[in-house]
Amino acid sequence: MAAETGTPTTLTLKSNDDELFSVAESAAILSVTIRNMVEDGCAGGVIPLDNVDGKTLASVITYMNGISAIPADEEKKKSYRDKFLSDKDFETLADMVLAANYLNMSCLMDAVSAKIAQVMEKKSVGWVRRKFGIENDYTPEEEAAVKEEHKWTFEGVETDDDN
Amino acid sequence: MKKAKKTEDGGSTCINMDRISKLPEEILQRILYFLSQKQAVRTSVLSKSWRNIWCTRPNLDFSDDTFKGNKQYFLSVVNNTLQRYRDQRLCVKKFHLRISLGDNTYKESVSFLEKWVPRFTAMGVGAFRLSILSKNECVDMSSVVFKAESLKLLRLFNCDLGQNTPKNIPFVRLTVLRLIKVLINKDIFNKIVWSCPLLTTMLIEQCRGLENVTLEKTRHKYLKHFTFRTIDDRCSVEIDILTLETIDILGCQ
Repeated sequence: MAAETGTPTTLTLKSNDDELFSVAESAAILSVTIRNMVEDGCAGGVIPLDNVDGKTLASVITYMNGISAIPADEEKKKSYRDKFLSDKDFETLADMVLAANYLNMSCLMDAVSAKIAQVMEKKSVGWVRRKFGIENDYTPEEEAAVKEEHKWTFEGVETDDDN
Repeated sequence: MKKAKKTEDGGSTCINMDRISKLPEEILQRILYFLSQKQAVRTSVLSKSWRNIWCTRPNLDFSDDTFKGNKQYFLSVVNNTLQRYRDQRLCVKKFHLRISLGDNTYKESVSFLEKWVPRFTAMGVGAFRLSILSKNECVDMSSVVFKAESLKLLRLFNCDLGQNTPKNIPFVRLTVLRLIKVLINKDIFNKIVWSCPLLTTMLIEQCRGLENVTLEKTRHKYLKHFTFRTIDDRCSVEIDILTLETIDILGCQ
């Protein structure tokens, strides 16, 4: 529990590959999962996070520290999130969104989901398949039937080009 | 998409293993939440595992201009989607509907709207954004608009709100009101704006029948942006609101 002595409480988080991280409790409780552990008094020693690897956890902690340092100003927080995610590739984004889901951090989960959506928006089916390595397991007939069912979504300018 | 994006997203770099499809459905749902309706529905063609993910999306966003003038098709797609959400008792948290009236199908459009809108409360719609643009005739929309309990944004162009006003106007959640070329009188206007305590943005442009507008701080504690434009020099506006950030008044006293 947060000590009443005035000194900031530090938590130790352990990734699933046994890396240890120190983080201020005030930043870590952005994660509802961690907050619940703290509130239940389970955070005395090391908090094991079995679904997050060290590389991802380091990144999540950078985010926790960065965002909690910004006062209640939604625009500044948004621009921090945009900047934080701007150089991340899809592999990293996928790790982060899984971690955010596990840690129950809705702000990070939303930011990463929105970022992935932004990559897909206004792109053709072929482009999205190639970009994300999605294997098309429809037969040509099945695919044509699904397309026909939603044909309004194919009326537009998008082509199978890479743009 | 702009060409400039091409190099940035790197169309040539692709992720080899199909990691996105293996993400838990709740995450895929969240990604789809941030897509346009068109793009979200289109993910059903990606592969079999994507076939039905969009079907339970908690937000719907339909605009008839994505249907290239095929109004009948637009109406049937919206109707079928809503019917399915209703039948499967799915929750719609946000619903955005933009429709233009003006061709020979406008009566049909209005009767669909009359059918859809009262259902939204039962469907749990929390935030409803409605835009109705009438191109030719000034169409009476009171039968639709005053049934919309979860309205968050209302934008009307060339509509008539002067008739059939109910005793209680259910706009408690309305934050944005834009009325352009709307036929409305002072009493009904007051009744509307007094029923929306959360209003932050109000735009009134060339509305007929509305000669003077009075806004009081006790009723509009959150109003930030107010625009009133008219070509009728008999109009007057009286404002006593401290929270206002922008005021734009044109053509009246």
